Amino acid sequence: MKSSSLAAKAFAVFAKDLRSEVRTRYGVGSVALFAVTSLVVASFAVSPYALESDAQSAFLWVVLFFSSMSGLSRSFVKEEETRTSLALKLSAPPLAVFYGKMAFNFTLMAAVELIVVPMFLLFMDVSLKSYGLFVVAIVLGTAYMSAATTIVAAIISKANSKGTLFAVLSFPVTMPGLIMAVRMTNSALAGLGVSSSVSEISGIIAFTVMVTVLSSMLFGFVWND
Amino acid sequence: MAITVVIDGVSRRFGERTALCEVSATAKPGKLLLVTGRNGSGKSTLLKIAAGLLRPSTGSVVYKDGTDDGAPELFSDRIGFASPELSLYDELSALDNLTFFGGLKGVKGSTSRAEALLKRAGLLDRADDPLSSFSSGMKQRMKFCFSLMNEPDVWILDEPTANLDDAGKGLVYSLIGEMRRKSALIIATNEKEEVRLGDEVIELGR
Repeated sequence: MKSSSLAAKAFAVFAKDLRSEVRTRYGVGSVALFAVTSLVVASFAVSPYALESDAQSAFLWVVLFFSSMSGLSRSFVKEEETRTSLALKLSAPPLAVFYGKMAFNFTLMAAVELIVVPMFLLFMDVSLKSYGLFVVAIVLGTAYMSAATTIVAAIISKANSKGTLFAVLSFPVTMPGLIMAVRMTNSALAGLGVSSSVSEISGIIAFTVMVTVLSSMLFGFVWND
Repeated sequence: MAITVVIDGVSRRFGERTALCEVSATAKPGKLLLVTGRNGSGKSTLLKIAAGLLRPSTGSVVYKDGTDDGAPELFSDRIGFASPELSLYDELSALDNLTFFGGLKGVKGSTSRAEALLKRAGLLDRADDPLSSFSSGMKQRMKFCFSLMNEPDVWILDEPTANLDDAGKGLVYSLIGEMRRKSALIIATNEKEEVRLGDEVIELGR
């Protein structure tokens, strides 16, 4: 009468978070609000001046970083605050919870980027020359951010000052991936092809795998604490 | 196969405070182990340790099913647990909650199982309503449905009749009567009516 693989359980956790988000729109609301507001304000401030591609790419990732800080911790914090974590601990292995939450964070960030990135291109008057590299930079940067912030969110969900702690702890963890994402975005805006960013692409993939594997090993201790 | 839960010399400290000191007991299939004691005596702590939700500072909890012996975590698919500290998802419907947790526990046909439990709990007509619209007593009934989704071999209940009206209490007692025929039951309570149901009673904090 009982069956289920780790992947199926992780997908169930992901689908549950997605369904909750569709009903409450809490995470996407807070993340998108920050991202759109900062983009609009900045675009009015700098519109008379033409920003260089390195400044534009840094600005895009600063917006995405702080937007994710405002919402990606919710998936774990909410479980603790509403005391649903106990039911989840009883029902799912820790790894299924971790991968489900990571997939949800990736989806949440990707959904926000669907709004933010076109606005960025429009408001910042960006002439995008290398679409392929730009998409690779956004996808890999998002994957890295999701992997890095999921374990931090699990850790800070047990703490009192959650919001501040999330940003403080996430900063050093996300920095290597952010730097590579900014460089790739810069190359894309400057019109360079994928071949110009091979080291950044392989670097961010390696960092994402490393963070995911280490987080998987650590998560059981954090979750069951 | 039925499971016997052996609690052996379990203690638990939170910092300097000792919440539980050297507790030993055995919950056998078809029997009800009842845990009682004043507030703060460690009843809830003991139940969480028995369910594998908390590690003991010293001592051990071993589940034995005739072929395998092991820690509660290894038998998590066969444990049912309900407690005042446990909540389900308010934004999801009653049916969505149960099918979600049933799916995680690997229950095949979790929708029909969930509907049968909701019917038993008198909540089938509210199956599609979000839990945020439920009263505290209805949420308490939902916890029983949650704990029974996987037809557990070990059923652990902390203060099972809290927040329940007479009909709700009747439901709990009838479920206990059914479950004690095949499963090992561990219940923490201070209700005199429930204490009398125990095959073995341990009093904490004396």
